[in-house]
Amino acid sequence: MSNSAKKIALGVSLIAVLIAAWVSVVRRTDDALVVYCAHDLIFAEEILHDFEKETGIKVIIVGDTEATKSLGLVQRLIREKNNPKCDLFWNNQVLGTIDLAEQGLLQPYKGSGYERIPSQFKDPEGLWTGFAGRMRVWIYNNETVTGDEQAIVEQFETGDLSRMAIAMPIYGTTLSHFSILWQDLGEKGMKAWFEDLQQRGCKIVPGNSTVKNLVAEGVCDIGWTDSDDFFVGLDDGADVSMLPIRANGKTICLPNSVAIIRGTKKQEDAARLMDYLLSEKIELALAKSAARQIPLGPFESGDLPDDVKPLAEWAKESVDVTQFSQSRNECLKWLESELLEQNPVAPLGE
Amino acid sequence: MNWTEALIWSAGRSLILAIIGTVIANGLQTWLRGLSGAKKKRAWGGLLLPFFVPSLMTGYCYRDTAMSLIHFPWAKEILYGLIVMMQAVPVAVIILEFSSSPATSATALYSGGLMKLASTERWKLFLTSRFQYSLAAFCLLFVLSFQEADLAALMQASGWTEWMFTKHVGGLALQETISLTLWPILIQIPFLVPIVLWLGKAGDRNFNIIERSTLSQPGRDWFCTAWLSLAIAIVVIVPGSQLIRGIFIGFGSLFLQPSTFRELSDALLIAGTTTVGTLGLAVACRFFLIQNGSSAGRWLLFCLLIPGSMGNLALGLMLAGIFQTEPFQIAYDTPVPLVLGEILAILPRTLILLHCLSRMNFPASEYLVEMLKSSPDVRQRDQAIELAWQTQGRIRFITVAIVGFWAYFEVMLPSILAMPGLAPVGLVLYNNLHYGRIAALGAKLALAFMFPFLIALGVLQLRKLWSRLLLN
Repeated sequence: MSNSAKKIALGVSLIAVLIAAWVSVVRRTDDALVVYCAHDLIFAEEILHDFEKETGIKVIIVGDTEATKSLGLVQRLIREKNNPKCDLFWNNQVLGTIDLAEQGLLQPYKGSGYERIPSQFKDPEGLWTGFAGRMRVWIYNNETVTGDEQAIVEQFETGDLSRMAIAMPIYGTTLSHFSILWQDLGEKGMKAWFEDLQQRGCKIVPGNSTVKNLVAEGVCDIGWTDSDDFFVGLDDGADVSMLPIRANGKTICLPNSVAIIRGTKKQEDAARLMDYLLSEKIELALAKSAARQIPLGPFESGDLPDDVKPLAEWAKESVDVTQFSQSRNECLKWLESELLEQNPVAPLGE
Repeated sequence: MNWTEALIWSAGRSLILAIIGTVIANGLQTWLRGLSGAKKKRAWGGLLLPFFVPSLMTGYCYRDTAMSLIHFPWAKEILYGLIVMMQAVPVAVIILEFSSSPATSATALYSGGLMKLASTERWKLFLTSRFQYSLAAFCLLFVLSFQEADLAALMQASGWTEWMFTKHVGGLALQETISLTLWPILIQIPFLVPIVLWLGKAGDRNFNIIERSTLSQPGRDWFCTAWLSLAIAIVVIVPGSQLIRGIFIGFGSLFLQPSTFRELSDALLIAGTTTVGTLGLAVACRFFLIQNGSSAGRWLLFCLLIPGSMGNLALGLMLAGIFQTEPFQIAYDTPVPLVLGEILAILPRTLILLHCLSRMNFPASEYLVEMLKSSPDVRQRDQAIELAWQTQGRIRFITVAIVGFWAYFEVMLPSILAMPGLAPVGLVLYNNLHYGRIAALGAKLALAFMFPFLIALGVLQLRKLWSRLLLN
């Protein structure tokens, strides 16, 4: 064989191998349930792999990240609405899922899992169901702050906040938190409150885990975060404590939410997974995991870890998070303009 | 910060980095020319190392440092700028080193001054002197720092890429994404022109032309040594030590996770496909667009470089939008958007790499090897294969390895364009870095880093074995 012929044969073989490899990758989703999962994959993967083992249903997980939340799964689902790839959406909060429901992207399903969850944590039509909540909490460094809730709130309302951090409020649980405040304070009150917060030096950082890191390392003294992020810090040996954040006297318990995507070709498998996630077994597994998430459905109190018991009590005093969909959209619109400001130079082409 | 301020901030930072970086690069290149033997090889190795450290590694190392500087935002910006400059300056040195002889030498320029030529004549001489290569280096430094997005996201450095990231919270239509992206492209276009002109220049490297004194100057030598040492310390040693620490934390448990092998093989598959596509396109560009010397060819080349100059964030968002439109939707659920995006993103630096490595070819020796290959003696033909490796094969291997390395460690495009079921290891790591659970990631990052090197070493060993079998 001549040199040129050898080179051509090598090139063709290489391309054939690459094509074969890609075909096998593309076919991974053929018989699999595609789950878009915004929950922390370190916890979610284990649960979904257990589901695979128990049922034999293959699951492909597409994850979300704190940094790409702005490009995240909710936006991806909206982008794919005419040609959905996802079968089931596991969100780590509820307002984004409600947004999808309002856009007609979800399919109703009321299975055994749906029935066991209280009404304040689920859609009445069965478009989505909440489970495994986490609290919005104050995290504070024990070396610099006493555990007096009143003192912390007083400092927050009137004092210097240069050593306080909150996560970027345009996505995730912080957006949900701000949506609740928007409803409480109204548009004018919210804007004045946020301006005051920034003027007193409050730091805005990429995400809740960053807040936790800053407080744990003593760079900041207090912050707003989620209870699961707090426990990660505690497990790492940080000298931190937490208190529940209250809005108008009520705590803020933000559930995960799960929904079936309209247009799925695997309705039965998706329903099975949905019931699995909403079961007492999984809620307790998430409670016992490092995330210490709060079961929302009925359970045997003896099964609950000691860390989670106080959280479960706080969760009983929670706001009804399903009421904040409209304020979420208004709040988000305002936050986009507030954080990105007015744009004196319009994008080209407008 | 609004869109205008974000653009001005990014452009201003990039200008400062490019000016300082060009001065440093000129000093480094002259210093390196004055070295010889093993000292020269070590210096070149030390210079290039920071360039090849992926943003995953520097981000892994400095993310928490950047966050802890929250009370000192200027310190964070300076740290970010320093890391970007330390990684980009080696490329500027490469541009200067692999440039052909300028049309106007330093002597001619000086003579023009002595002759008191008209200012327009002296200006023309100046533009065709070594200055044009410093200009190309300056422009490349500007472009590299302006479009940098991965490290900026991890360190939360201010700029247009972070602004655009945030803007997509509410979702943006394709039209809006394109219109937002046009401003960064317009800003970069004037800086792309000198780079394209540099790519179009033929001629040998100016090995023997003395443009500047390469005699040892204590001040310059001290500065260059200090710069190299600092760059290696900040960009290589500190992140590397964290990587090594990570090996001891949980390395064993990695192999118990079935997803680890799939993530590594996904990354390898993406890198392999992108490398084949990028090199094919780059070779075609050099042959049809650059070497034929036509202005139409240069314009087409310029257009091909524009997607790569958008930055990977903007490029990914645009492709995601385009592949959701009616005619292209059929390819959305395939690797096409991701592979296309990576090819377009890596093409500009691949062209520069090929241009530089082509200056290391020696046509006479290649011709002799070809003659030896057609010898009737079997041993001579086998020796020709070994010689071909020494003269051409090594350079091709280095080219493939470098392009594959860039594709393997690309994180922004997979985070936007990877289809369900495809999770390359770089993407998994990048996602988890943002959660801040850094301690647990060290082992996986170390494995992800070692994997391509082990593959390359394996290929080299196989080649040696094959060569020994042939010669024995």
